[in-house]
Parts: sequence; structure tokens; C-alpha cells
Amino acid sequence: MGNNRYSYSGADVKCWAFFPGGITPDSSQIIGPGTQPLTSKTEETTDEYLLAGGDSTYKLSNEEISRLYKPQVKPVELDALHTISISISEPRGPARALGFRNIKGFARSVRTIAGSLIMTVIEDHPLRQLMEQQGLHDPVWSEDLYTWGRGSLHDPSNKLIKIPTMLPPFNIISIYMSEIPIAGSQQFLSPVLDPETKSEIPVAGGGTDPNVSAMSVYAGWLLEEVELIGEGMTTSVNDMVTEVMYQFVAQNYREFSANISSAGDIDPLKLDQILCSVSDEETLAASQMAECLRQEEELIKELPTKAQFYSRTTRPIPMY
Amino acid sequence: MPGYSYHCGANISLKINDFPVTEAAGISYNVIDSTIPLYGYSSRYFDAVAPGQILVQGSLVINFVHHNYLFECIAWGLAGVKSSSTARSLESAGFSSYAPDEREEVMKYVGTGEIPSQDTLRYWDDQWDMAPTLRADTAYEQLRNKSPLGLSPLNISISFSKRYTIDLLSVFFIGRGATIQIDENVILEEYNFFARKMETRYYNETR
Repeated sequence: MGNNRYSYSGADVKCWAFFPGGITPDSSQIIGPGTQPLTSKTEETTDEYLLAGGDSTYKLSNEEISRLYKPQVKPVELDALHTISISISEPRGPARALGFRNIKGFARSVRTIAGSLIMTVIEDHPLRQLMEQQGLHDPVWSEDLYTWGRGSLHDPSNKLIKIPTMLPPFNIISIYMSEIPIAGSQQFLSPVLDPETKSEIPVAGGGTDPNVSAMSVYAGWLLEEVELIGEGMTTSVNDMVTEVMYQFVAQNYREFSANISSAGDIDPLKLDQILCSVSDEETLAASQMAECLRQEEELIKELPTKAQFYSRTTRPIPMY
Repeated sequence: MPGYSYHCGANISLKINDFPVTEAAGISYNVIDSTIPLYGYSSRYFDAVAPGQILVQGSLVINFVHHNYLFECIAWGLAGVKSSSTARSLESAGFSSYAPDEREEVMKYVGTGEIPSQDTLRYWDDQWDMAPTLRADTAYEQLRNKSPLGLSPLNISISFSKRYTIDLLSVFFIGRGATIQIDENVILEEYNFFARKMETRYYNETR
């Protein structure tokens, strides 16, 4: 018991989708003449920064930080999601030369982040909440924007319902928590106290062995600027449920990691940094920082609390 | 580091007058040297070589993001700005690379050799120094349309993995074009140019 190691099953994961701070009442401002289109943090921090020679004068304006990084709306739990796959492709271009049978080396090339979502239909469209949250503000324009591809069978006039490929880019965050407490590593040996009762939390399997305590580790990943590029639905007499599949591409992927610092500390609040990371926090005015933190707090309320997590490690039936 | 001495487009950065053109999708150039062999009356082999003329010709391809993107990159580069973020900061502070209501004012100085003194125009000083031969009416037409064709000569630097740089010096844009069609591909704009010379250097070596 003291050397439990673990992986995660699909039952240990929850996913949320949320729009980054790019949807404004006047979305034309985003791609209007003379302005930059909605850009991702990736572009801002790598392209610009590196091309500028990584100079220390590179700063994002407060307005940009607010627009780009702050979630404007609450995350929507993808509770119908049952499979998600992510693939990152970054092929290498082989360099060959006359007289050499083998390759001489590689050129590092371009990256593609893509994947698929498979969702179960539970009464209604699995992305309905996300669609309604987006509203009618679209970051791109076409002649038939509000005619074709909108409306449902039940309510053709409901323009909020649309083909999901019309959704603007959104982020997906996934949080993993194992049911099995871990120990055996020095960094996890400190007894974990219940935040409410302040008593030591018993580990699964019974007892409160001071050398074996429940973990308080979240793990997770974040996909940024997810764009749905395909939808498919399968209904069959051979299937118990109806599934909807989506293919997507994304602009950035923050790798799967546990919230353990390099010093070995466990910091559950790392999540707020993931959701609202600001590379140049010192550039934020105090009021804006307070607003940022307030938004983070609201966001985090939507996610599993530490107490919920502890409960999960000790109960046979998950709390959520 | 073995194996990574080769480059591809993802390892390239492109700047015009030290301003990064982050929407650049490609660039091609050819250095044409018309050096010709000279033959004597009865010579089967050439006897001398006459140095000819050199011309660099090429084209720059950018993603179409808005109609004045390249113009603004060049304008900020001419103004001495070295990053997009600085340019945006200046914009938010009330400066513009070329605001519409400044056009007439700016044009008063074309060809006069004088330096505009207004704060809002100060970023144009370099341009007048670099393009003294532009005729006023031509320049006006180009600038009024915010065409990069009116902002020459320029320098384009192509850096490879921050190790080596190819400089195209005294670049004149002479044309632009785009193909627009109904598919999912990004709309590109191609700018044709010629340049006076091409030079190479290490990335950190000053020109």
C-alpha cells in the first residue's frame, strides 16, 4: 500500500470547455481593420517575443492581457464527453545528399495539434451550453452567417443553436484525479488534513498510517484555441447510445502534468495559473490584478474543490 | 548539436528594417548577375569576362490579415520600432504609423528635405532620409493608399535559427497581388520586389 503508483482511467477525468477572453459584444473589433485578429498567447509569446530577439522590453498591454487571457464566461463541463484524443504531429524533414545512403540530418518542421472528441447524446445536444454561451457574436463573417447552419429541428428560429463547426475557438481543460492515494515518495509523506475538521484524512484501505497519506495531486492538461472542424453522429440498433464525434485542431497544448512544483510541493492552486496564466503579471495594475483573481476564483469554484477530491479518495462512489 | 544543422521555414524569422513580419509566409529571391564572357575574333574559349550588372529580384508572401498589414510593418520599421508590441503600445498612446488625418501634413515635407516637427510625425524622419528621390505626387499616391510600394528603399533580413542572416538591401517593392478563391486556404498576398544587393552575415554581426 505504501508504494502505490497509478495511472488514470476515464472515470478519473473531468473536462471543461471555456471561451478565452476573445468574445466581446462587438466582435468586429477583434478582426476589424487595423487591428490584430484574435491571437493566442502562443503567438504573442513565441513569435513576437522571439522575433524581437527575446528583448526584455517586450510587454503585453493590460488591455491585451485582459482580452487574451481572462475567461469572460464560466467553463462548461463537458459531462457527455466519453473519449478525447489528442495528437501532436511535428514531422522532421530528412536531409539527404548525393553519395550518402543514410540521411544526413533533419530539419525541424511545422507542428499540428489535432484530435477528436466523442460525446454521448444525453437528451440534448452535448455542446448546447457552449453554443448558448457564445451567443450570436461570431468572430468571422459570411453572407449566410445567420441563415444556413443555424436553428434546430425543435426551434428553427433559435439562432443560438448551430452547427458546432461555427463555434469560435475555445479552450478545453482536463483534470485528472486518481481514486488511489499515493505514498512512498518523500514528497507525499506529510499527513493530509481535512480542511474542515482539521483531522487527518484516512487513506483508502483503512488506518491513518502517518507514513502513508492521501495524495492531493491534481493532474491535467489544457488545449488552447480549439477549433472544431468536423462532426459526425452515429445512431445504430447495434449501439446502446447515440454518439457524436468531433474532430478538432488546436493552436496550443499545455502538456499533461501534475500540480507538483520542481521542489516537490503540492499546490492545488496551480490550477488558477493554468486557467489564467499571465506571463507579465507585474504589468498589471493592482485593480486589474484583483479583478483577475476574482475571475479566477469564480472559475475555480466550478472545478472540483480540494474537499471534493479528498472525499473521492475515501468513498467508493465519487462525489461527482 | 548533430543533426540540426538543416533549416526549414519554421526556423526562419523575417524582418523589414528590423521590424518582425510575423505574418510572412514565404520569400523567394534570385540574384541575377549579367557578367558575360568576351570572345576574341578567333577564340573558341572566352578570353575575358566583362563584369555585368547585378540585380536581386524576388517576392515576399504574407498572410492576408488586413489590407495594410505590410505597410504598417514597414512604417513601424522605418520609425525605428522593433516589435509589434511596442507598435501597439504606441498606437494605444495615440501614435499611428500613418493616421489618415496626417497624410496632407506629411506630404508637405516630401521632397523638401525638411524634417516634420510635429510629435505625431516624428517617426517618419527616417523615411524622408531614405527616400529623398521619391516624387511628391507618386509618394502621395502610394502613401494615400497605404501601399508598401511607396515606402522604399527598405532592408529585408532573413535569419536562420538565429545563427545566420541573409540581408536583401535597398529593396523596392514594385508590385502586389493575391489570389482569392472559395476554399479553406489562407488568403495570401504576394509582393514583388527588386533589391540592390544581397549580403550575408552571422546573426549577431552588425551590418
